[in-house]
Formats: sequence, structure tokens, C-alpha cells
Amino acid sequence: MLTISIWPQIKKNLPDVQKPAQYIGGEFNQISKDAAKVSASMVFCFPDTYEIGMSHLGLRIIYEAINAEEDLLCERAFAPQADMEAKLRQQHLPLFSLENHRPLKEFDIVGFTLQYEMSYSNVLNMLELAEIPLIAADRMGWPLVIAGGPCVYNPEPLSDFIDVFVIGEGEQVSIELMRLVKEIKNEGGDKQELLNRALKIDGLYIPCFYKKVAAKTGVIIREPESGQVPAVVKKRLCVDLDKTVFPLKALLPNIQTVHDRLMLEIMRGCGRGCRFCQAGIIYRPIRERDPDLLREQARQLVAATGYEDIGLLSLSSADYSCISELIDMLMADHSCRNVGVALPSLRVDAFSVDLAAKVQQVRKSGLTFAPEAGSQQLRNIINKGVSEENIFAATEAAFSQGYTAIKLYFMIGLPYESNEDVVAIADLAQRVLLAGRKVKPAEIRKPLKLTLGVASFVPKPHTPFQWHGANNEEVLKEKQELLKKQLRPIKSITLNYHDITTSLLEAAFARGDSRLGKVLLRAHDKGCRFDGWKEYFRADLWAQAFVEEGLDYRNIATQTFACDDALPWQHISCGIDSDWLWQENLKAASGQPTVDCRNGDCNGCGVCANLASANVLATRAGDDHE
Amino acid sequence: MNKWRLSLSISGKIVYLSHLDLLASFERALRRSGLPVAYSLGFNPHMLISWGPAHPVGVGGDNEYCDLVFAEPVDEQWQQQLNAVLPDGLHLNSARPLLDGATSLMAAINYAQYLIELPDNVNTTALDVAIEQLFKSDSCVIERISPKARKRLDIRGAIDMLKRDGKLLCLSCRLGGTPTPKISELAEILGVTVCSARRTGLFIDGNNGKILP
Repeated sequence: MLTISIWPQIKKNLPDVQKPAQYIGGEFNQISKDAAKVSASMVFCFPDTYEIGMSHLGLRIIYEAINAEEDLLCERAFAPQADMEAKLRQQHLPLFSLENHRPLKEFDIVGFTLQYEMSYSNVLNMLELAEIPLIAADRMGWPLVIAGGPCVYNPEPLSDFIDVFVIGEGEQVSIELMRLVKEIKNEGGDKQELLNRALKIDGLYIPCFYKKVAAKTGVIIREPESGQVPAVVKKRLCVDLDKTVFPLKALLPNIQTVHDRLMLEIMRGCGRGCRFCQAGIIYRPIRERDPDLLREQARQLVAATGYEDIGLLSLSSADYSCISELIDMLMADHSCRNVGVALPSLRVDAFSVDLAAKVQQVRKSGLTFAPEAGSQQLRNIINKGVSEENIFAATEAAFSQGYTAIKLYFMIGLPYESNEDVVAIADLAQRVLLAGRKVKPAEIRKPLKLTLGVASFVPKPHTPFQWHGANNEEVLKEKQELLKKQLRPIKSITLNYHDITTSLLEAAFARGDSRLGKVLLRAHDKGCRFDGWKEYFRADLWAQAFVEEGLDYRNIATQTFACDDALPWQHISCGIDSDWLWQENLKAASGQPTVDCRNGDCNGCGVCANLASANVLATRAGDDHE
Repeated sequence: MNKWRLSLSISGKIVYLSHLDLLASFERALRRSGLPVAYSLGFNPHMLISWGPAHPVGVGGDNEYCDLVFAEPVDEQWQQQLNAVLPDGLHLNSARPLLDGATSLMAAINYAQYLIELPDNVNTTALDVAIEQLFKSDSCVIERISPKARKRLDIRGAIDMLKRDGKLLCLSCRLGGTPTPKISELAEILGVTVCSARRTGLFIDGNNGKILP
């Protein structure tokens, strides 16, 4: 393996770019190995900027897991910003890793994490900057290009570009794949040999072994070329989180990142079963870490980093079985040194507000809740499990404790939604504000403020709503206008909503099939990148790219599937029975609830049986839990 | 009060951190050290540290200063204890106890010296002419464009001394009062490119000449 560093060339450009520290690497606690002394290497690529990518826990975990193995190496790379990209292109410099400033193409594996559909153009752009051929079939030798993350549950839009998709939790399977690379290289085998033998590793989807077949509806699906190839690829799962690697000497980013705090992962999975939520399905079952282990991890992390805040990460931290005890322990250990605790995901209830008050004893900044829908009927349809009483209990508790600004998140465009449901958002917001004014402490003069974040619903694969299309442009526009009209006279409520074209494109790439690869390539050639950033997003170029391929993103986004229709992602499984998802979809239509399975009532989603796993709930020593 | 004046050096990759990011990095090191740094009272407690002039991004520093308050007395070992946990490129040179009522660094420091390294192929004849030219004129106006505004600034008053020594350029600047040029702006005026630059010293220039903070 070559070990060329292009640091001297990169360094020359640093005085002329914004935030140069994002390109230097060498952060405190960085792991730097000699590439010549390891047997296989991977560069973990985050297809967005350093500030965003360094806040991603998955990167930290994979980085730690791989580098903990003596014979393996993992470095990091991020999407360069426009000014640096221009320099790299002018000077014919390849995209590089941060640890040793080595060109990406010199690694055995180039691995992307796919967190958001609108970052796909950045994946192509990073490959191009790395001087790696974009199309998988055109790449004869190394590196192997792989991808993981939540978006791989529908891998098809990227299946022309990626050699291997990693489905599910990556910490173990990454190592298995790298060990295979090591073996193949020792034997002098090539990449094709590697792909052949990678078929034996569970959780890998290797598109070149699947043919593209047109289903009755015209949708392109994938079928195995031969009997040796799994018809369905099941996700990988860490059954016991307490036994998995967790980074305890966390990297300290060189520049302030979007979530600049210690990351303590307290659990994975969520049993609530909100019917719109992909994360609530694909990360099942619930696995909580042991509170005493977390306490020890927090101690080590604080000592190793000096961070001022401990962020408790999970899909819904207030659901963690021992959350109060855990917060008490962490506060006891750290508050005397001005190290605080942060809860980034709050439930909509009074209990959560009490937790927030507990951790934010000094700063009364703001709280965020996500009722998701304005009417009770629609909240029942989406199985949000939040009543109007919960909402008022939460917001009144917050206002009475002195919070003056609250954010509420909603969605429009949900299945079965009527205009009355949309008006109900405005109505609920006004009632929350009025109730808040009544309970607000007299000594606080600052007027109350509500901010509504209203997203357009994007139906995601592997959810009970996967069969539904997104609302079309006109309907979404009408609903946004309706909300604007309702809320315009009210000065204390700020309304934020999403760009409709971006949401529909996101829906198209979330639900589309392999034909989208050609569109993506065209959009990339036209210069699309950073599509999730308002200032870079080019709706016009995307529209052209679709027209030139004879496809319409609006149709893909809004297409409704029937129960027995073939789905572009049906060869990928997150362990949930598809029948159960359909049952949930039927229950949604009549607004029937499905309870959280963490309390013992199994709803029969199938994940525990299919993946030989179970919900793991935390208990404290001395508890009487069974 | 248990106040100290610290002299730090900044070198290597860390010079590309912005001043604010460097401060965050230093505060995290202090927390790792376990030293009893004092915090402000109030709703948002912060460490009682006050810094001298911000280091320019990309420019190293041999002697950069900050004043730090400890909540309780510290033993002699504290400087080694801090150095052991500082990130690569950040080093505590020395520290001295400070009396109550000492003038703040920002108010006191008004003079800086820089050493600028030029490439091997620099045209020294042209550079010498440019330096002479600069000193002959009473004003030197540059345009500074930021995302928010476009400003015209006369930086001549800030330049006290500029000397070439081989391919090194020694610059002395007055800080505060008149606009100070960035190294890149000065390089443009002189028609040279810069390999590296570092701030070698910060001083209090008063009636008794230049003294260290």
C-alpha cells in the first residue's frame, strides 16, 4: 500500500478557504496508524461537511471499532466546501483523508454513510473528486466502494455506483468484510473474488449478483442471478449493546460542530411504532445499555475529552427505563465541575419537562416537542400515542417553569389528512399559547413565543405508510398556504415549513428504483451537490435531469402501491414482517392504536423471532424487575 | 484571588483553528487537567479566562497570553499538569501570578511582532523596492471584503517596522487604534506569497519602551 500524503499541497490552499481547520485533521484523540503496517484499510466518508459529519455517532462507533483491531485501519473524509472543491479541481488534487491526507483511492475500502437522500449527489461528487470511477461496473481494481446507514433500506437509487451495501448495524460486519479483504489480498485475489466470497457474509447486499426485472407496475425490482445469492438480505444487529465497542476516547472536532457535545448512546430502537417513522422500525428491537455501564462510560468520556455537555443519545431518551436514575447519577458525578447533561429528544409529556428541568437547572433556553399532527384523529392514525392532555401538560409545565420559547414539530401531507387536520395545527398552536400565558410566572416579562416547524411528510420504505404516495405539489402548496393564512395574524407564532420540491425529490429517492441512478448521474454532471443546503439546491437542474431520463420525480414521490405490488426495496429486510406492516397500515385507516411493546405486550412485528433477539430493558441493582 | 498570566505558544496544524475554536480547545484541556478553574456566577457559568489579542487564523504564535483564575490555590505542578493534556501544537511556556487590579491583556497589549517566511524564489530586489515604497508614503489603503460589507482601510499607521532578512520578513505592528493589516493583505501589497507566518511577540508599548505583558 502506498502512503503518500498530500498535506503539503493541501496546506498551501488553507489561507484561501473558509474554516480551514475542517481540512487539517489531527484532532485531539485522533487515531493515526501507519498505513504500511496494517492489512486492510477503509476510509469512512461522510457525504456532507465536517461540521455535520463529525456530529454523527455512527462514524465515531465504526472508527473506534475498526481501529481497535490492530491489523485494520479506518480514516475519515468529508465533503469539501465549494471553495476547497474549486482548489482541488484546479490543482488536480484528489480528495483525501484527514488522518494522513492520503488520497481516497489508495484505501482498500471507501465507505459512505447514507443518512439523507439529498446527500446522494455528494456521494458521486466525492467519488469524482477522489478520481474513482463512479459506476461500479467500470471499476476494475480497488478500492471497493461500500455504503451503509438508514438510506440503504432502499439501496436501489445508488445500486449502479456502490459495490456492496451494508444493511443494519455496521460495527461487526465492517470488520468481517475488512478481514475478508485482508485474506483476498494475501492470496493475490481480485475484487471479483472478494465479491464472490462476500456473499457468505450476512447483511451484505451486492447488487452485481442481482438482475433488474420489471414488475407488473413497471417498477424495477431485483432478483438473484443464482441460487447462491440470498433472495432477501437481512439486516445485521448487535443483540447485546453492553458488549459492543463504544468510543471512550472521543475525537474532539477542530471546529464547532452542529451537535458539539459528548455523545453517550443510551439505547437503540424504539417500540412506540409511530406509523410514519422509519427509524422506529428499522432500529428495532429496543436495546438499552446498563445504567452503571453508562455512568462509567460518561466518567471516562468526560476525563478523556473535557467536554462541557453530555448528550444522552437515543430515539426517545425519556423512554429509557432508568432515565431519572441515570440523570441523577450523571449530575452527581459531573455537575460540580460544570459539566451538564443534554437531552436532545424529548417526549410530549410532563415527565419529559421535569427531566428537562432537572438537567437544565440554570439555563432556560427553549424546548422542542413533536406532536406531529394537529388533530387527535390524525395522531391516532399515525399512532403517535400523544393525547391533547399530554400536549397541554407538557407545554404548560414548560411555560410555568419559566421557558418562554417552545418549538413544536408537525407534518403535513400525512395519509388520510384533510384540510381540517391542517387547520387543527394552527388551532392547537394558538390554544397552547393561550394556555401558556395563563400559567406563565408573573415575574417573567418576556412574551411567550411558539415556533412551528412544519415538514412535508415523506413516505419511507419499511414503514406502515410505505404503500402511500406523498401528497402532490399542489396539495402541499395548498396546505402550506392554509397554515400561513391561519397564522399570519398571530405575531407570537413563527411558522417554518419545508421546500416542497426538496421534499418530493427526497420522496422520489426514498421510494424509487434503480432507474434513478441515471438521473442522479445526470444531475451530478450538471453540477448538483449539497442538495440539502438551500443555498446550493438547484431545482431547475434536477428537473432537467429527470426530463432527460424520461422520468418524473413527482410521479415516483406520489405513486401509491397496492398490497401485493412489488416494491423496489423488497429484497432488503430489517427483520420486520411485511404482513405486520400492512396490518398496521390497515389499523391506521381506522385510527386503531398499537401500544408500545416495551411494556411486555408483543404486537407481533416479527423482529425478535426473525433476528434471534429481544427487547433489552435496563434495570438497576436492587430493582424488582423480572 | 488566585489569578495567573499564562504565556502560550501555538504551532503546527492547530494554527488553522479560529480563535474561538482554539479557546474551546483550551477550555476542554483545562477540564481534562482537573485543575480548579474558577467559573463565573450567573445563569451561564463560564471559565474565568480572558485572552489577549486574537491569533489570526493560519498564523502561529510564540507568546500568546491569557489570564486565568483558579477557585483555590494550586500547587507548583499545575503547569506540567496542564501541559500534559494540551492538544498537539498548544504549549504553556510559562505563567506568573497576577496581582489584583492588573490591567487586562486586551487593554494593555498594543504592539505585535511577526516573522514571515517567504518562498526560496522570492524576488528580493522587487520586495525591497516595495518595502521602501510603503515607508515613503503616508497612507496605504486596502479593501477588505467580508460577506457583509466592503471596507476601505488605511493600514499604513499600524506598520511601525518592516525589514527583510534573507527570505524572512520581520514586521512590527501597532495594535488598537488604527486598522492592522492581515498578513495576506500585506503580502499582496508587497507582491509576495507567504510560506508561513508567526507572531513572535506581543508587547505593551509605553513611556518606558516595550515591555512584556
